Amino acid sequence: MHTVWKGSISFGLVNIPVKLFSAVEDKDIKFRQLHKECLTPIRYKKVAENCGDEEVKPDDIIKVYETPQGKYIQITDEEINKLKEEFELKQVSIIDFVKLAEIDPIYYDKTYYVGAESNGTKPYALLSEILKRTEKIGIAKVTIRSSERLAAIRPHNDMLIMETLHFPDEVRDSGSVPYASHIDKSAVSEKELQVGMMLVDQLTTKFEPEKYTDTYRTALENLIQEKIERNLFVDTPDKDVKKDTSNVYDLMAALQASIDKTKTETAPPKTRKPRKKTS
Amino acid sequence: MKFKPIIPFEPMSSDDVPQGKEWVSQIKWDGVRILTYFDGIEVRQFNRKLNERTKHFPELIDVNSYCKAKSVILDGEVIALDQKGNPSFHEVMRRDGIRRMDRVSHVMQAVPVYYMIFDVIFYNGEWINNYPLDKRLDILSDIITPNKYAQTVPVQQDSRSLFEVTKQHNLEGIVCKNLNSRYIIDGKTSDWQKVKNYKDLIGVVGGVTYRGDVVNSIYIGLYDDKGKFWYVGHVGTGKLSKADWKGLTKIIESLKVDSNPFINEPDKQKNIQWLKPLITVKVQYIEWPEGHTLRQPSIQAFVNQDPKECKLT
Repeated sequence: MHTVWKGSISFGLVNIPVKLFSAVEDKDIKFRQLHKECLTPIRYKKVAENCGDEEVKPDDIIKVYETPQGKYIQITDEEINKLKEEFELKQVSIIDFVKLAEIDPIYYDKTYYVGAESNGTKPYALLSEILKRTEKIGIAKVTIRSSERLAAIRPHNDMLIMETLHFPDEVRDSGSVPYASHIDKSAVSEKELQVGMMLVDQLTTKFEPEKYTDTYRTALENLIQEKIERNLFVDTPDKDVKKDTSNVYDLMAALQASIDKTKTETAPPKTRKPRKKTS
Repeated sequence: MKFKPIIPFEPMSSDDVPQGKEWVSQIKWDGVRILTYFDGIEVRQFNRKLNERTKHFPELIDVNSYCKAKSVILDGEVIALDQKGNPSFHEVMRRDGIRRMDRVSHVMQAVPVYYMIFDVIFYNGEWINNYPLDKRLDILSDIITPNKYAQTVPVQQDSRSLFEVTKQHNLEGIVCKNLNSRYIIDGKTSDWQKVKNYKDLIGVVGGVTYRGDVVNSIYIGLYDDKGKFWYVGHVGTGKLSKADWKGLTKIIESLKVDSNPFINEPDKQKNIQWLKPLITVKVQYIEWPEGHTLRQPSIQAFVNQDPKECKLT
């Protein structure tokens, strides 16, 4: 797994060096685009509105912020980097401990596995065990990829997991969803409720995530795999040279031939395997 | 029983091939060091930094298809070949560096890998790392039946000849091993000595130049003990394909900075786009004369390493 962040978690006097790893991976199938006529890849070209079709070089592009009035403020990479360095604390400080059920799932954003560093397995185990026994989770502030986030640290088996949380002001007001104010529970009869709740009882099972798969993606993967097996490749103009059939046997045979040749040139032949010798 | 992965024995660097009856040598395969742990039930693979690689090389996971031991820890190098049939670090990184495990089966078809096994550390319920190499090699040749993907690395007594051969075939070099030596876990001693035809290092990219709108060369640096970043050379040749260069061009977009990240000034060259030093790359070179830049550097592949670990030695 690829480390996305390296730093430490602190709570009280304990400091735990850790690495974060993404706990989930995106499995979307990505497509590329080719021109129907010439079958070469389509790419984006950056052009300036006033300068015709000529492509703008990376060096000739500046970064700006657009104000609501349509005016621009330039921000240089240096300014951004300076701020990043200033605020990118490589430390997660646990500020509060709360019960897991108290956090509405709406706040959850990304999930990371927290890995221990070799010199910090003991304090890591300590924190994990404390959280397990108290059935609490730690709330902390952390900066990942230069944005500051709220995070929850919770135990998972013998490991720790960090969930980044949305700040309350990032969560939209549900009242602005259409018809939100029209939802009226007094219009529902007791009988309808009883029937509905009975149905829920009947359908209640244990949550087994393995039961659910992305059927659309699996079907798409199968379609692609089937076309690969039938060699239905698009006949592109500069396709890669096909892999030839060279294998490791050929290489080892060639090497052995060279070894034998070198030996006969320089010295009388010796047994190839030295382990039969007496020692 | 579940194995805790170990840090493998490493060879010391040497300029000369050691002589004497107790020395044998093997080709130094340029790939990724992978140890295979089979506890009798489950097979797992880890690299030398103890990162798990179990899902990366499905063709190597069926240990019993090439090894008859009831339980075993094997040490070897996973390699891949280029189109000419020569070992290529660049190719094997296409397998080892994969991030999305759902792509493994596709890449597996494009880049076959081979496991070049050279040692056995645990065998049928017993740690045998303290057995002399001689004995371990006997056990290894006894338990391994080579198949399409797994091989044992042949042992040669005539180390000088083998070194000549690696030169002829442009291979990385040889590892000379003392037949009486133990396998020292997390050790590095002169019982194993690597003699190399060319040198390499992993450096950090601190700048690039463009031809048109695509990157065509990179400026490489290393850190000293005080954390200062020194320019050591620039390179535009090597194993990167057109697509690799285009990919790099995209990736560096977010790393651009206005000022030189190196403590020293690279050789006079205008239009260097400076970068935040984050991308690490393996570079091969012929020589690195004191006070000069790398001679005839050539890019092997981009690698996944902590930039701060790329140090001047």
